[in-house]
Amino acid sequence: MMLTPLSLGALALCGALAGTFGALVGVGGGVLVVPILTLAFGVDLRVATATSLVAVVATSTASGSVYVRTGLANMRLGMSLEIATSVGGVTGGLIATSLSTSVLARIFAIIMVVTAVLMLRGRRERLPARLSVGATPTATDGTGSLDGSYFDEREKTLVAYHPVRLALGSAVAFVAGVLSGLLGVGGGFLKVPAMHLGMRVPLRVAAATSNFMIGVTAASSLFVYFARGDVQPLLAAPVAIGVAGGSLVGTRMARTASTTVIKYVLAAVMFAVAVQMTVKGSGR
Amino acid sequence: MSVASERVVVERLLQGGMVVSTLLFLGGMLAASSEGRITPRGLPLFAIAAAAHDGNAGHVGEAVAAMGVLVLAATPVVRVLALAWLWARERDFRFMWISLAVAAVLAFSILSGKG
Repeated sequence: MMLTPLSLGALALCGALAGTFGALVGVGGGVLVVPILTLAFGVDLRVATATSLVAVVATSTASGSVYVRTGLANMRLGMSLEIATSVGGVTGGLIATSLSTSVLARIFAIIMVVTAVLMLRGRRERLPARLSVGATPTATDGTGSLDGSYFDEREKTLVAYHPVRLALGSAVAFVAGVLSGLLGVGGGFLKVPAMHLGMRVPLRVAAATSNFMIGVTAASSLFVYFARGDVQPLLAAPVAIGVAGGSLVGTRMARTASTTVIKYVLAAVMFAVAVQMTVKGSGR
Repeated sequence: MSVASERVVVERLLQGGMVVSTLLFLGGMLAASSEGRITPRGLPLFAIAAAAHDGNAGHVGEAVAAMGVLVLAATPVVRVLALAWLWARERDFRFMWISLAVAAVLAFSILSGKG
């Protein structure tokens, strides 16, 4: 594969698209990078997976800094789940060497469909306890506690929350880590619903904390791919630059954009890509 | 150290990692394109130094871009270590140990591909 200025621009653009969607929905963007690289650019799936992991770390780093500043990302909750997800990431990265490309393509297609269904079935948010404007959060990222609070810009209130069922969250985070190592995705599509529906964390906090976490998840398997020589730095560079820019745009858009519309659009893209990946997996 | 300053440290760390890696990516692409074309190839983590010293402009550019990947991948690791240190200063030992456990897994990940 030879890269021209045009193809470099196209790679950066696809990264920007993935980064914007990823930062908005909290899924990282790897679910778009892998199919675009394999289907549109003809990149080998394992190389595309490694490139996607670079993109996921870029998404997490760029958007994570914004979410940490605004207080949406709960760092103690994120770190608690990172143990399971990083162990899963290493496991997935090591397993990936023993699976064929066609098997990986089929797994990816299934994951895409599951992700799309999970997003479409997302329930309306049941917000936890609220505090009035100006009230001081009692345990925002407080010492020894997972409790937190954030300022809801739409409703102009301070929302306090108390995460529950850490064991359930950790189990899902482990599975998300394995899938991340196998497929080059951030695993946010599992972490966000697990935190929101399973651990009773507000959706905005779940998406922000997921974005904060996926950098560690992806890095844990990226090192495995990098050491093996599956990372092509000059292919990853334009994608990562695009993703970083797109992530910053996505975090800004997240304040005002309708997440419902974004979810439907992304779900439609995922279904289409799943079909294409299934065809590609069957053809090899 | 307050929660606010804890966030500032992490935010600046992440921003710094992003800026440095982006500059390396751009530098790598510029160096590699000096030959008029870019042909990506896999470059193992532990072969970066050799590629940087072989005199071929394309390979040097590739090595610079690989350094960008390395800096980017290391940023979450440094973030984990920084939080362990910050929480140790707050005497929040529960989360300090959790951070160190995550760092240990990441260290295993780095070493697992070496052999």
